[in-house]
Amino acid sequence: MSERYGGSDATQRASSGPSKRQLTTLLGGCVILAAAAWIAEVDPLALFTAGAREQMVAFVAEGVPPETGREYLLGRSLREGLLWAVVETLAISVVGTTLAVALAVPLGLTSAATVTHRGPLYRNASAGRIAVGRGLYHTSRTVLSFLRSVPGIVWGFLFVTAIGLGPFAGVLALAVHNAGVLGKLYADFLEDTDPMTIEAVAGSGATRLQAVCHGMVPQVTPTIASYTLYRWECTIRSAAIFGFVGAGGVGYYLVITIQRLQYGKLSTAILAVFALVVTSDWLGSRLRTRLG
Amino acid sequence: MKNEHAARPEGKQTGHGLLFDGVTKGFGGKVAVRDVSLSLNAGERVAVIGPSGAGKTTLLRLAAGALRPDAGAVTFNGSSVTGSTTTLAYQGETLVDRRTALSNVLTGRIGALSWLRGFIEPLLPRHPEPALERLGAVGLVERADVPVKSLSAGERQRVAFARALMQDTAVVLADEPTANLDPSSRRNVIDVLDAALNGELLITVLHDVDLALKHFDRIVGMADGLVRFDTPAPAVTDDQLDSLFAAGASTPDTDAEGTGTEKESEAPVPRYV
Repeated sequence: MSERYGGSDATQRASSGPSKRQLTTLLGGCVILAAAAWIAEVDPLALFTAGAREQMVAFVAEGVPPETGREYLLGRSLREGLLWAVVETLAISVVGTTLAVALAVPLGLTSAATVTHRGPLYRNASAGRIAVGRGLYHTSRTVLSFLRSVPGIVWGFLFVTAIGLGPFAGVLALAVHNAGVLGKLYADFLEDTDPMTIEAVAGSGATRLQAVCHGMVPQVTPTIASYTLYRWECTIRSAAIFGFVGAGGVGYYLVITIQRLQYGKLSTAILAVFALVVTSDWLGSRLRTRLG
Repeated sequence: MKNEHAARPEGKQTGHGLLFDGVTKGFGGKVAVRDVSLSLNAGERVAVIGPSGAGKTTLLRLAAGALRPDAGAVTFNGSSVTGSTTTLAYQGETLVDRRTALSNVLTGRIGALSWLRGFIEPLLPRHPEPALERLGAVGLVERADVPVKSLSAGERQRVAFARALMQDTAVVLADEPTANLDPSSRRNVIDVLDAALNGELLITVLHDVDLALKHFDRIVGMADGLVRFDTPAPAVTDDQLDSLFAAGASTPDTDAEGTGTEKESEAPVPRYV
């Protein structure tokens, strides 16, 4: 019956055309887009000016074939060469993500209202305890927002300034920025758990933290693992540009070849980043399928 | 099962057993349970029936100490009920899906362990024997290592019982233990629960009236938060049932309130309060 109703409703809608409300939404969307394009100084013709064409032709002409010299790819020692930089990018992303998870877990827990002050665990809690929990919740959420709002590359610059050039600055930059991203995700998932499952565990005399551990967390571990893997894929892409600020990885080759107008070498570096991203996406999706 | 345990010595020793004394509980502006007084003794098998929204589940959660009354008191042997004096057997849906039956049953004992051990025991049990014993009591010991998500609805319900029985309390409360089950599984689940109990006071919220009348000693009929009748099962009349379900303007066999089922979570109910 509902299908039939839905069918006739759909037909009716099609015959009467888009509603006034839909038209308004569409018009509003167009106005916002036009304003955004004006602010972003969009000029499609800029791509077709003589200068732009010339530069692009020069890049293609000089970028093909990509540089494949042994010295460029492998360098003279172990920690040199483009391929090492690719491996270094991968290493930065793995260690950086792991560190991000280590920071995100406690912050995620203290940023979930169901853990700090709301829901079945706090049904009979005192007003003071709830106020403390709420304070912790807001503080943690603010910390997470701050970590997240500073872009990874800016964190990279800050850490390079603090501890000097090198991949460890990249690791710390990734860890701090992604702790903000993952912590918020974890907190949101923890707030979206089934309260009765938590109440059932709490009802057995478990403390709040034990109920979180055995009633709340296991409900979200697969989702959390899956999103963490996805985030790891993202960190590879961001780690690829940390070289711009001297925080290690393949980005160094991107920036240096651009500056020196070595388009053949730049093409190779771009291809290397592309291969890295494709491989990590493939690996990540395989692992996530296994988790699901 | 009727009256089998009614005359157990515990009943005499505990005196007044579980007592609801003028209990009222509301959520927001809505009163779920109003001025309920009941006296329930050890060994009794009590079924609470009534239409959806009658306050049955709230009554049960008050008995479990999971909710505190706005007015009145719920006491067991003279002291206020807490999570450790009564056990609420939640529905099978409240088990942690990805963990094994054994792990879920082990969570029923966390309160009795040291703080640190409480974190470890459900995952790496040092003493799985009591949990295996309870799983044996509900006929599922051979399914102990199976993740709960692979079990049938009836089996999940039995695991939930096993988890509740880990607490060894004198009062066992069960909320719609037969919801979402087919008729033969319903009888099976009630039989399993009956066999697994050992003289405890059992209070069950049931929407299956026939099952309640056939398997329980005492029937409490609730509608609109009030106790409409409280009589031995054989004394319940058709007129009483008709007026009970007419009062709630609902049919007896609809899924009832506050049980944590998915259906339930769509409704704006007081579970999150």
